[in-house]
Amino acid sequence: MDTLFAWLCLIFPLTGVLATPFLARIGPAFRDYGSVFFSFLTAVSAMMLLPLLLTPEKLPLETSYIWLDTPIRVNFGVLLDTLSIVLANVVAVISFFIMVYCLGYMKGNSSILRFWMLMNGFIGSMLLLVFADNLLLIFVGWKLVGVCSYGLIGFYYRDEKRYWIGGPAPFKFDPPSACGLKALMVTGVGDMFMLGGILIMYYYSGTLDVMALYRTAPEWIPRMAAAPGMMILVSVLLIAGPVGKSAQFPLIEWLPEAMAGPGPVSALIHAATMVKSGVFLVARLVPIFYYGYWVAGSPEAMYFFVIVAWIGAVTAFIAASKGLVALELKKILAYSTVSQIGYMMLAMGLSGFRQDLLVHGYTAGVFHLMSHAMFKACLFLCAGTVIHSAHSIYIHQMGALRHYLPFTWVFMTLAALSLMGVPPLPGFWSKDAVLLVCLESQHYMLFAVAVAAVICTSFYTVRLIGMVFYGRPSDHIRALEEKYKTLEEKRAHLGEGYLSQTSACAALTIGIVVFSIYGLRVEHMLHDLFADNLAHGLALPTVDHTAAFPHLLAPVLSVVCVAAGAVPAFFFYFTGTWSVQTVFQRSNLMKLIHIFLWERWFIDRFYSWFIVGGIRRISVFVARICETFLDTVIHRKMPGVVTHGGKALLDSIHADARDLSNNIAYILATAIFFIVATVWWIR
Amino acid sequence: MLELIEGYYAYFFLILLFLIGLYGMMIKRNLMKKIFGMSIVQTSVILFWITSAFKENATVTVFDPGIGLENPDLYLNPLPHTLMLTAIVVAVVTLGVSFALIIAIYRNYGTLDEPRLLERTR
Amino acid sequence: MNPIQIPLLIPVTFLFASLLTPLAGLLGRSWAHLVSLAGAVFVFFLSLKGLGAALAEGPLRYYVSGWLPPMGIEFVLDPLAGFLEVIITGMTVLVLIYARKSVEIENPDKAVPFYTLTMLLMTGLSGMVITGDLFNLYVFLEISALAGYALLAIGGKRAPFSAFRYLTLGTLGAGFYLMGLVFLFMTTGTLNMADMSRMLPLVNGSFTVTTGLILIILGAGLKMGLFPLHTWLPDAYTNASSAATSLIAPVGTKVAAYIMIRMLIISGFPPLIELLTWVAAAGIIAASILAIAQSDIKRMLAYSSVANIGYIALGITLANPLAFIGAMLHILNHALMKAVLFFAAGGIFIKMGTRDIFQLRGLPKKMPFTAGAMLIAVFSMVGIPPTGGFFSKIYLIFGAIEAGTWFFVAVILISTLLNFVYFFRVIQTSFFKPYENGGTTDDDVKYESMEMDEMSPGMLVPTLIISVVIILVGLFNGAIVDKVITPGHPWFSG
Repeated sequence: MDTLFAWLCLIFPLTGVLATPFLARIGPAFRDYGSVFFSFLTAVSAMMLLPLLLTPEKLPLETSYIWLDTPIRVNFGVLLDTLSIVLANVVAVISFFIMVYCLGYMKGNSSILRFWMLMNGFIGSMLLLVFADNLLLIFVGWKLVGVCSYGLIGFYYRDEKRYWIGGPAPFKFDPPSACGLKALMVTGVGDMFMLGGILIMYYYSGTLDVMALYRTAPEWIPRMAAAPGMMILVSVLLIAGPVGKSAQFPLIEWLPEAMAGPGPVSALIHAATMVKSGVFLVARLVPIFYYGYWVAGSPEAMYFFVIVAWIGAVTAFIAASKGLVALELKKILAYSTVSQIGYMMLAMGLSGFRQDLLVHGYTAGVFHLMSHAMFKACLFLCAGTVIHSAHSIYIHQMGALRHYLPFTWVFMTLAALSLMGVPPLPGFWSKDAVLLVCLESQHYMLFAVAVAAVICTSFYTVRLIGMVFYGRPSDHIRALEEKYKTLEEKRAHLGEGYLSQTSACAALTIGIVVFSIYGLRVEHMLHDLFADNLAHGLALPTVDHTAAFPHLLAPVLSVVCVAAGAVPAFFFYFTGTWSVQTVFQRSNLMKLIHIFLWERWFIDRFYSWFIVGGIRRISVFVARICETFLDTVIHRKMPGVVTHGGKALLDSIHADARDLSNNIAYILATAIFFIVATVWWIR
Repeated sequence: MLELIEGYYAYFFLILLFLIGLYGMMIKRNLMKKIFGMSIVQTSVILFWITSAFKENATVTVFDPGIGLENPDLYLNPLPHTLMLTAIVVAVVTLGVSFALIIAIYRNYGTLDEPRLLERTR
Repeated sequence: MNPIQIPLLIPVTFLFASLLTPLAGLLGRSWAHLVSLAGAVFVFFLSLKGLGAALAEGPLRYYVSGWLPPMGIEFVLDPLAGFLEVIITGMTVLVLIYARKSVEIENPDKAVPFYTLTMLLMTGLSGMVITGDLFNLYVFLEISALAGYALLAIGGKRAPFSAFRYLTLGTLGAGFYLMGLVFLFMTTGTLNMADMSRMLPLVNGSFTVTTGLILIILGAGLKMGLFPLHTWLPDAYTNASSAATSLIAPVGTKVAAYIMIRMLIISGFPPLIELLTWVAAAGIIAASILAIAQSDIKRMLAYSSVANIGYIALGITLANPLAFIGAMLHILNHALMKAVLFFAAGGIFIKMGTRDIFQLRGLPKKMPFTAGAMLIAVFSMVGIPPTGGFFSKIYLIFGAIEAGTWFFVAVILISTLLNFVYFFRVIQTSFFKPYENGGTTDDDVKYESMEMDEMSPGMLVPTLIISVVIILVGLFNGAIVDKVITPGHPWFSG
């Protein structure tokens, strides 16, 4: 009965997809409000699941129907446990606010029908991924999410110049359709690896069902561990999927370009939901590998956690450092998203390092996921409004916008402070939890990298806020002020967006404030829930944690780091006491670092050169030599042989004869053939 | 060899009948004659069944007061006879339908010669 | 109503409907249509109920006039028969809905005979499925065949001639069946199916029995159009009216295939079964190639039917559970897909005036819904998930793998490729034919001036219903296999 709401969560958005074209026939208002209404219903259904968290002894709940029976049994079902309920609420509620924002943001777009259908389709597939009770269904949702995201990134597929991303002028631009393709392909690489991992796991376990995998772990994990290297292989393959989807280190490069989509899309997909699915999947897999290391005693299982943790830490730092020099508003936010997801991955990876850290790390990851979803969605929505009013995607063409966008200024500043980790905002609580786990694990390298990322984060966040809302208006803004002389015009073109936009941002900001008050309590609640889920429900061995360091060390350190990044940025960009230009001109080292960061550590360059360029070089060879040959054989000769030759053969034996004597001759021949052959057989 | 023919001569005649029917269906050009051939084939199958009811020293399956009911071995197997009544009805109906079709063909094309019909319906 | 009477009621209702339809026809064509439709709908619900009862309580048996088997005739509705019965009666209902308008346009003066013959045909087919007596099966076979000859003769000028050839070959096939039956009767002395299957192992391997079985299987093969006994099929399907084709193509051959299943189950799979597998495989490839050679859409579909009958025969004769499930699922799927395709072909002929597949340009512009339904059916034919055809093919492939016969796996895959070729020719001309010379040729001008002109709702609705069902079958094939086919399986039920 309780799973009914989970089914509704899947049914409502998909109904929305199907209903939108019909609603569009009635009228534009029905179309817009109708599709938002469906996401509202989804959010309500998701929230109806929250009471289940108060009775954790009832979880996990599962309802499933047989989808495929033979040769492999696959169910179509929903699995309700703490993780899926929490994540579903994050997805459904935040996406509802984003849909509300879209009411204003997308007003007047000619392809809005496609937009609504893709958005609802995205929400539905994301919830399918969250609720799915087996790995195959998770994969289906995973790919559907990817496809919807492709459609939304390339939403302006006509590639008008104003939707291009990249630059400014001397640097290269990317049209949205290319960006969509890039996202699809890069994540696709990870997905294929992941499918391989799932299949290997199926080979050993004989089931795809998540609960069954947990339950039967004592049987199949020793078998898998017996094959040398198999655990490592499976770990690498399975991590590749989340790495692609969450834009982690080797597959990091698609997310910045994904900002080519409409603003709210970036908020929904590339901040709040889709990129979190990688963390979600890792969280689903943690119990399996934890069991493998701590119970089954396979040393190879530890590689899963080591890889995840290091990927997370390295990504957190790389992405944050790129954010230091970026000029496009949404790209800075994209880098920061990648970097924050790195923290979540780090926490997930740390959860397997020691028995006492399992619940702490797991909780920290999920908790950071929740708080990050909220403030990053708010940041992106505000960024949409800012870009709209400043008529530019570059922060150096903004400045002093707080006069025109007073509400957005408040919202965005609050969200940015949360991102930095300023107490008592939710970002502080969650990031502090991650850092605490990292410190307690006594892996100081990881901790150092994570702390460096915190410094970068606070620097670029302050820089962002300073360049957008403070300082002096840039030439671009002045030109706009010249253009729109009267107050009304200024308000219309430079001011706040539609009411629905502002209210959506406001709602998220209120969420941040509420979360900051209850943050610690939420964390404790999550901790208890996961302790119940992992230690009791799944019977994973844990030990009670005893702090190795003073309790206040981590919070104090993190506040100090925030200040270390924020103070110089404050003098550079708020007060203008220090000049960026001077620093840049004075030192050659600065210039080199700047180029290195501006080129994004040359990772993208390398991929373009190695993969894209390499494929092009191979393609020349293939086109000239292989293709001509294969084309002749496969497209000319073989069909000729099969169809013409086969037809000639059949004609020669009159297989489509129309006169009776031939037909009867056939029957007799068959009869005689059968009898002779059977008699021969029997003998 | 001679015993084989002597003991199963009925079957040889039936096979001959079957083959005559097939010959008619295959070689004759006129559709009407093909129907005759088809009918002969059906008849041969029906007779096959009747033959299967045969027993030595038995009489037809009509109640005979002289024999009585005590010894059923003295009657032929009645089941094939009754079944073949149905089969004969089926054969007659088939004949009726085929004649109806032949009339329709003749109306449409004015001939019943198969090669010509094939030519015209190509 | 007592479910025990359902096996009798199914054919009897059709029989009565066939008597009432011409009487109702005296009042008017629509009355005849209504009576036959009412009969079909009634029987559809009866068979659903019967299937439910058979699944819940085991086979329903009805002893005609109280004579117990093996002496008397029994009607048996086991899950397998119920499954077939639901398919064929369901298709009949939809075809009758479609037929009203289609017959009205194509052969208005033959409407009443059409409905009457449909009912008679269904009497025979449903009786064949349900009977437990081998001679009774012959009688029903001939009832359905005679009605079928007459039905296929309703159509254009050529229809009687192609129906005539079907008649001669069909009668020969029935003769084979009867001839084979006498061999079995002579050795076992019984005609009851259950009794026969108990007797046959005692005399298995005898030359008489083997010959009899071969003749019976040849007879069934002729009726189902198994290559190389298919030669009557393409002409008969091409020349008949579209309503008649869309009734007989999905339903008629499937029931003949069902006879083959029954016979193979009864006989306990003699050695000739491996031979049949090879014949079926040859048929799949040969018929697909012949389909590529056609340019008339109905003729192409007819050859594709032959190929698909080959799939079904292949699945039956591989003789393992997975392949059997594949065959049963393919009976369902093929009935659905062929119905949609023949429905669409009929509608296209009415609205666009052509059956040449190279003249179908602009189909999606003129008849978008028909084109959509056809696209789904084509996807299913080729085997693109999530349509039903994909799953039946995958079961067949798994069955072939389980049998260890990789050659047949290759045959299925190659035939999929050939399917792709002949179906996507249609899709390509109708959907994607490019402009030549910048859109100035006559063809392009004609295409530009096309307007939407969809077939009438009475014909469109059944088409769309079935195309939705195709997808549903694909999505819920697990449930169908689990709940219906597996219990009906001769090896599973034990």
